[in-house]
Amino acid sequence: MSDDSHNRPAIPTSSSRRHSDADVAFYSVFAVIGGAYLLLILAMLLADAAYLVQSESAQIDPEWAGQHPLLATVFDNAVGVAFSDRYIRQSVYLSLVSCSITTILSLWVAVPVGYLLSRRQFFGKDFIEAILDIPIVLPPLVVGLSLLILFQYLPGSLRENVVYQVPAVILSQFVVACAFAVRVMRASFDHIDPRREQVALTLGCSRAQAFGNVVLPETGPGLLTAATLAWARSLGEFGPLLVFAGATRGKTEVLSTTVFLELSIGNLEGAVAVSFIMIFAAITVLVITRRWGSRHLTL
Amino acid sequence: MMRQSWNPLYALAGGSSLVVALLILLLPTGRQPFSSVGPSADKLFLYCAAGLRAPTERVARQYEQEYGVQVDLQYGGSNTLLSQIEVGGVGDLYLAADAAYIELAQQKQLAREAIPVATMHPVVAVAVGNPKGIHGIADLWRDDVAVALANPDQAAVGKLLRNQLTATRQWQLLRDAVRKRGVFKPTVGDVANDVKLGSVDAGVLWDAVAAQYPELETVVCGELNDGQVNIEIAVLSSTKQPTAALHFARYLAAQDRGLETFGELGYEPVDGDPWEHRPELTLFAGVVNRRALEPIVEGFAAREGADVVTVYNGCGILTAQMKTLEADASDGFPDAFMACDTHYMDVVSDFFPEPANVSNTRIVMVVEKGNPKRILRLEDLAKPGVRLALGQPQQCTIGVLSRRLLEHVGLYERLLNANVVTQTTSSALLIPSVLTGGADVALVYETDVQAERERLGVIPIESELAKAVQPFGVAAGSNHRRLSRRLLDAIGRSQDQFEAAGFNWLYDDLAP
Repeated sequence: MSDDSHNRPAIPTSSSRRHSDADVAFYSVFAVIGGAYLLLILAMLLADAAYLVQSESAQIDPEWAGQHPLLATVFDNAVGVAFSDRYIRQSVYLSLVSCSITTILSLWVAVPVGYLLSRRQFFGKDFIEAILDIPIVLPPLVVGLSLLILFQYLPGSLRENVVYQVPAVILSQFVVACAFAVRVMRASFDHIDPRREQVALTLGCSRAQAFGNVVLPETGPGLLTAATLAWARSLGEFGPLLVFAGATRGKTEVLSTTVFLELSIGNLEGAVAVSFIMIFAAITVLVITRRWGSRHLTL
Repeated sequence: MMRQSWNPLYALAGGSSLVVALLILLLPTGRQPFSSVGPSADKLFLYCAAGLRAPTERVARQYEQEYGVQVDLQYGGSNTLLSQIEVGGVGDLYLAADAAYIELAQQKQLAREAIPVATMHPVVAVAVGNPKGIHGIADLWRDDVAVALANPDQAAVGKLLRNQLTATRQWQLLRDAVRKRGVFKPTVGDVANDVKLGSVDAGVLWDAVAAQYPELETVVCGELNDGQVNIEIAVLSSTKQPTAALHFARYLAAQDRGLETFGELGYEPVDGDPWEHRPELTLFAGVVNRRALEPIVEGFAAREGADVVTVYNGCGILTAQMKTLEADASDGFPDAFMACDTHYMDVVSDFFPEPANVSNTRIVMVVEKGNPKRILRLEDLAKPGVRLALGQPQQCTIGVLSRRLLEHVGLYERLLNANVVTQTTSSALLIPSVLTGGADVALVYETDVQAERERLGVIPIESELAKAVQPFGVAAGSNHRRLSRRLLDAIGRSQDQFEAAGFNWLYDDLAP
């Protein structure tokens, strides 16, 4: 060791750092800041629940209660009242089906696009990546408006069968959800070592075989993460839907639209009850992603 | 070495395709709302102002039960919906919280017929019990009061409030108070929610909206008393099923159907027509109008899904008929009257208040081709040997107007004694008398000469009195006042047809 070492600040060992008072203060500040945010999220959820419990909600639709006595007993609360509404049940159904379709469509696009972006270098790649991010950074209303305007240039029959119809719900969800799925898939492919794929190619596999037999199994958690994020993103979609698919009761109404429609007539209890359904769905998705998805893939 | 036949990629792609196909089959299909044409549509698409959701939803349900036609309701702010209509280019109906938006839609050629539904007035809403003791508009800018207002550039209630308070400079005080302690919200519903949640102490709402919130009570403010908006429903130009759309619009605006519901929910319904599945309208019209009016009435009846019984005759005869019908209180009194001239409308002005002038036509002298009697001025009519045909003043307007014109130049009595060879009950009947050589000259409407212009000579008359103005009036006692008013609107959109028939256009759609 040279004399110079005396002049340098001593690098603390891990044990000495662990017990330092300054460290405790440092982590405490971070923990307080993080804890405050955590509390804010939990407080929001608790406030929703408290509002529901306090409010004198409307009665469960007697017709529905008659048809489903068991469910009516279990859900004898604001969520049950919401569920007994025919339109809200339709909205839940359309949300589930449309989000699932959107998810699969997003994966169809995200897998090849993510793979290409991860593995290949080509002219204009940065530009294409920027374009693919547009739906993420664009204000949601602008996405809806742009879709609406796009369809003005398409044939009338196509326009009439899409604009303000159920396909518009799926298309609105798809445009945004797919952009997220592409990001996740690209990151997922980035984490897969290309050498195994190359080995498969040298052993005589075609590109498709190497992709299907080697890359795809490895990207399973990535696929699950992309799917759940696309699904969750679709479920929460509202801005483009409002403009492009409309808030038509019982037709293009999905859960986010229901919250808007219930708010518009001052039915805060109904809106909060539907929000609870969405919160439950969101938590389910997060649990699936954390448990089986790829932990290192983040947006 | 991999097996050549198996690739999970294909299995995944195939499997997911199957799942998508299955999910698409599970999608709620429903019938396409825009595909059906004609009055027997099974689905309608209505853009509905979000604040009108409660009554509209109820009326739509009632309509579906009664007629089996589903009405899809799309909600949003009136202004937002207007943009969607403009860009989307689809849909059947538009129910706006403020008629100003309907007018805007009509100006942009996005909407056609509009039917008034109800009115709303602004009120100050506070939590039940009025904890902050708000009793007037001036309390809204107190230091301890937080206020929510609908944004004047987005919502009708905000716009109205700004217009009303600007004159007294109170708007500035209120706006500053809101900026400091309160909030501007995009819709009146958001304002109501804020007051309901206690986020603010007071908000300005429509009385009908406030009535739907049991948690709120309203404070009547003198400054807001004059404020009012008119709710209207309009048929969109994009509809492919105008008759079905009008059927629902009439239902919603019928005093014993939709308006009952609006009234129950705190709106102030207009005086609408009573409900009839297929209404029958009786129109009395002076004969001169026939050429222009007939195709318009035909188109109107087909579009409205209504029957229009049109009685064309000399206006003297029609007005006499009306007086008899009124005296007998018998059926058949016309819902609307379009006279050949204001003279006969004045005769029945008690029944038809505030008529609108639609068109005018010149009175001309019609002579044989080549004008063998060299008739150039009114004075030439009195030449010896000139045989004159006139309208009968007791029976038709052309007779009245000819008499007025000839009396003005001091010729009437003289002509009646020396030159008049025949008097008919309408202007159109005077033409054949000249064509067949029964008379040398006749005083007729210029419009009636159109068809025979090649075979006759037309001599203009330089006088302000040589003109007939055609007014349209809606009977005050009619059960079809709204429908008749829409007939007038249809006429008002037919300038080309009137001009093609030889009339000069006068109609101003701002007239009552």
